Amino acid sequence: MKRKANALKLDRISGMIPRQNMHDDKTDLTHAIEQSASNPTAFKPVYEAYFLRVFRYCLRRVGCLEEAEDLTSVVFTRALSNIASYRGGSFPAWVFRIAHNVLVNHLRNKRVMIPLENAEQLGIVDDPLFRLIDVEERQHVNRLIASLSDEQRNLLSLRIASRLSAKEIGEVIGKSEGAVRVAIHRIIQQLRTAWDEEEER
Amino acid sequence: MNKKVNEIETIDLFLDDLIRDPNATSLAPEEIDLETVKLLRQVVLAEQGQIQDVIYETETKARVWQRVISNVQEAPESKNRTINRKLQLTHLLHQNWQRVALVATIILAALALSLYALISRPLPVRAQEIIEKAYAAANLPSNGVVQSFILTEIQHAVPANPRLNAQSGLKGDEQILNETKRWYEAPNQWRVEFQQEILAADGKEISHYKSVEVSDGTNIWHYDPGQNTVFVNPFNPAIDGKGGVALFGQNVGILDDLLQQATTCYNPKVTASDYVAGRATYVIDFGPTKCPSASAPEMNGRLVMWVDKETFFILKQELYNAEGNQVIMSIEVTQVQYNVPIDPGLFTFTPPARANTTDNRPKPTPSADEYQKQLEQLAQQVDFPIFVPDYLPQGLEPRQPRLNQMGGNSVELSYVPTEEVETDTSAETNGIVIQQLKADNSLVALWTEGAEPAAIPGGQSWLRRGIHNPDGTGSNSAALLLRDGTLVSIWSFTITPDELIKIAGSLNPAPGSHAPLPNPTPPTLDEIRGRVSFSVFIPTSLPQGLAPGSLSEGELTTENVEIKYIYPDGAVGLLVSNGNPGCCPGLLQMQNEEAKLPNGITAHLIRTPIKMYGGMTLWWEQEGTHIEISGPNLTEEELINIAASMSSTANLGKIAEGMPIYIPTQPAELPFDLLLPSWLPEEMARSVQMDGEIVTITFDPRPGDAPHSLLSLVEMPVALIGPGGDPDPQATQEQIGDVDVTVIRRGESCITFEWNVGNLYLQLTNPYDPPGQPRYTCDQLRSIIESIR
Repeated sequence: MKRKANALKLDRISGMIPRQNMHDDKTDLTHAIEQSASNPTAFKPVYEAYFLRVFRYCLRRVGCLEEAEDLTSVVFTRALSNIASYRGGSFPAWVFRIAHNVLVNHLRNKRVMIPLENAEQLGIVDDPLFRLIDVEERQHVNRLIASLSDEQRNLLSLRIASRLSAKEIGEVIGKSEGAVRVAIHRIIQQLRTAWDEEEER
Repeated sequence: MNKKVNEIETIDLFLDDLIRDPNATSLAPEEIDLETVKLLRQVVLAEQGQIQDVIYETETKARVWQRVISNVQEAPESKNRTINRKLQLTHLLHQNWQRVALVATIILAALALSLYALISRPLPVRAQEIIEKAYAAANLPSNGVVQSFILTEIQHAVPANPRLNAQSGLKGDEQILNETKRWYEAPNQWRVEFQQEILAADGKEISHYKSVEVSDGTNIWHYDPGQNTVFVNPFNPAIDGKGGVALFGQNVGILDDLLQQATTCYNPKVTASDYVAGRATYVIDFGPTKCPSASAPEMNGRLVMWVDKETFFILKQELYNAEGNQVIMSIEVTQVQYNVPIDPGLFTFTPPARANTTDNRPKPTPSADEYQKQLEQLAQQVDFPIFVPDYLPQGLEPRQPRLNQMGGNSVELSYVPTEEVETDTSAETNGIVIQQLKADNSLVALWTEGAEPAAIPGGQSWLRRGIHNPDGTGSNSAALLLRDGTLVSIWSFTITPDELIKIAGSLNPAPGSHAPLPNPTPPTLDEIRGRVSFSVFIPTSLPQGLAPGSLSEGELTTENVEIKYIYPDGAVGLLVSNGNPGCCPGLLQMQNEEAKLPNGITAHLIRTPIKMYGGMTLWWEQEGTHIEISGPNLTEEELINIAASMSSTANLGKIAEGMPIYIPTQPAELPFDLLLPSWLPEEMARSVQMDGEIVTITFDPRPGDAPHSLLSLVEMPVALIGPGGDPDPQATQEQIGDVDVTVIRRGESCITFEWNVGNLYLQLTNPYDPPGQPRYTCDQLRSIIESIR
C-alpha cells in the first residue's frame, strides 16, 4: 500500500495525475450554463456537478444539515436566477462567491449564538468512522478550528470542504492566489502551534 | 510571512492529496513533520468527514433541486402577475375614464391627508442609497471623511435556537457578550482588542476569550493571551488589508449580501432618525426576511440597522425574534470618535516577556560573527546537537538561523544566493534548507520512507532524489542523516543530490552544541510489553504472505500497541491493536455481530471498514487486553483464525519500526521465481547477481563503507547441487516455520542455513562483520527464513 501511495505521489509530482478532477466534461457544463439563462432545467448538470461541494461548504459553516440544505437551495436559486450575469471566468469561483455571500449573511447573527468552543459538536452526522477513529484527536482539532477567526474558518472550508483551489478562493473573496495560499498556510501554522500546546497540557 | 513558497506549495499539494483521500498520509513529503501530517488529516476529516459517505446526498440533492427550480420558476410568474395587473389597469382607464377620474380625486384627497400625517417622517426611498454608502464606508473607511477613529462596540445575544442550544451544550438562557475596541488610522494602522464572555443565567462565567491584533502598516501582530502566543508577520495588504475582513466592525460581506437581497428578500425603509453613541443616524428597518429559512426560523425575524448620517458607518443592528417582540441579538457601538489623534504606541506591539513568539519576518544578513553567535544561541535553545556545514556550493550565503516551533522545535538553517538573503523567498528554490530535529523512531521512519540508503560519514543516511519537470513542477532532493540523536534533512530544488551528500558529509557540531545523544533504536516487543499495563497479544498464525512489518506504541492518546503485518510488496495486510479493556466504547455504537472464536471467546465483528487500512474489524477482550484485528483483504474466516492464534508470550524478534523491506528487482531472465525475505534485522541495501542458474542476493547495511562481509541468500535449482561430502560436524537439523533446515554453527553462532523449497535450494549465510564476528543472532536468521516467501 505504501508503495502504491509513493507511486501516486511520484505521478502527481510529475504531473500525470491532475490535481483536481472535478469536471471531466467542462464543455458540457459550459453549454449547460449557457442554456440555463433561457431554460432553467438545463442547469441540472451544473447543479449536479457542484451540489456536494456547495452543500459541504454550507454544512461546515453552519454545522446543521437542515440549515445547510436551506442555504444550498438559496445559493443555487441565486446562481440560477443570475446565470445571465455570469460572464465567463471561473464558474466555481462565481458560484462560491454567491455561497460565501449567502453564508456571511446567514451567519451574521448566528455567530454570536454558538460558543466557538462547542462548535465542533454541531451537525455531526452519525458517521461511524468518526466515532471510532481518533475521537480525541478529532475533538482536539475541532476545538482548534473553532478557535480560529470566522474568516480563517471560512478559508479552511472553502479550501477543504468546497475543494476550491487557492486561485478560485481568491476569486471568491477578492484576494490574490498567493495571498490565499499564505493565509491558509498561516492557518495551518497557527493550528499546528495550538495543536502542540494543547497536547502538552 | 517569510514562510517559503515551496513549503507553502508542498503543504498545499499534500492538502490536495488529503482532500482526495484523508487517509493518504503516506503521501506526505518529508518536509512535513509527523504531527503536522496528523493535524492536517484531522483538519480534512473535520472539514469533510461530516458528510463522508453521506447517505443524505441523493435525497438531499433531489430535494434541493426541486426547491431551486420551483423558486426560479416562481419569479417569472410573479412578474407576469404584475404585468397583468398593469394591463388590467390600462384597460380600466380606457373603458371607465369618468369613474376613474372620480376615484382618482378621492384618492388624491386621501393622499393629501396622508401626506400631512407623514410630513415629519423620512422618505423610504433612500434606504438603498444609504446601504450602498454604508457598504462603501465599510470597504474602505478612509475613502470618505474618516481618516482615523476610535470605536467600542458591544455585541449581545442570547441563544435562540433550541436545537443549537442542545447541540452546543447551552441551555438557552445564557448571555453571550462580545466587546471589541478598535483604533484605526489611515491607511494601514490599526489595533483591535476583542473579548468574549459567555455567562450562565446565574451570571457565572462559562468561558472567556481575548485576542489582540495590531498593525503598524509594516508588521502585524496577533496575540492570544489565553494561549500566550504571538505571531509577527510582515504586513501584506493583500491578506491583512481592510477589504472584507470585518476589521472595523463593518462587515462588508453582510452588506454586500444585504444589497443583493434588499429588493428580493427585504423591504428596507428609512423609518426614523436616531442617535447612537452621540451620532445622528438613519434607522433602516429591513423588516423580516421574505426568504425565510425553515430550519433556522430565529434568523427570519425583523432586522433594523442604524447608519451614521455623516460617515455611513453602521453603528447599531438589532435582530428580532419571529414574533417581532424581542431582540435576540444586538450589536451597538457605544463610543466612537472620528478623526482624532491616536497614540502611535497603540499601533505597535511588544510581545509579553514569556509569550511564545513566532516571528515570520525576513531578517537582515548576519555577519560571520553574528552568525556564529546566533548559532550558539540557537544551540542553547534545543536539547539535541545541531550541525553546520563546512562545505557549501559556491554563491550561497546564510540567512539568520531560526528555531521553528511549528515543526516540533526544529532548527532551520537556510543558505541562499546573496540577493535572496534578506527576502522571504523559498530558500530551497535556489539554495538549500538544513532542518534538524531531535530524532525519534517515528520521525526517522516517516522522513526516510522510500528514501534510498546513502553513504554519508557520521551516521546512518539516506537520499531522496527529486523530480524536476521542465515546467518547474517536481519535488526537491534531500539528503538525510541520523547523527548523534539528531535527524538532519538537507533539501533543495536546484542543488544536485551529490552536492547535498557532500554538504551532509561536511557537517560539524555548531558552537555550543548539545553533547551527542544516542540515536533512537526501535523498540522490541519485549520492551513494549514491559512498559504497558496490559498483555500484548500477537498472532502465531498468519495468512500466506504476511510478515511483521512494524511495531508502534501509544500513537493515540490512549495507551495502545499496534503491529502491522505486511505483504512482500510492503502493503499492510493486517493491523493488530492491543489496548486497555474498555478503551474503545465507540466500537459498541457500531453495527457489531457476535463471532465465536475457536477458543470459546466471544468476539465482535464489524463489517464496515473503520480502520485506515480498510476491511472488516474483529475485536474482543482477552486476559485483560482489548484486541482489535483488521486487514483490507482479510475474510471473516481468516480474521477468526488469526484471533484464535493470539499469544501474549510469542515474540516477533526485533522489529525495525517503519523499516522499508527491500525487495530485489527480479531480472527478467531469472530462471525461476525468487523467494525473498519480507523481514530483515536492519535496513539494508541489496543487490542481485546471477551466475547461470545460481542467483545470489546480498544484503548490505553499510553500502558505502569499506569492503566487508555481507549477508547472502543463494538460490538455485536442487538439481545443481552435487553429491555432498562429509557432513559438517557442527551441523544440526531444525524445523523453522514449515521447512526443515540444516544449520551450520561455529560455537554458539549460526553461520549457514540450508534448506529446500520444492525444487529450489536455498542457503543463507551470516556475514562476519566486523571481521571474525558473526553479525546476526541465530534468532534473527531464523526470523529471516520464516519471512522468506
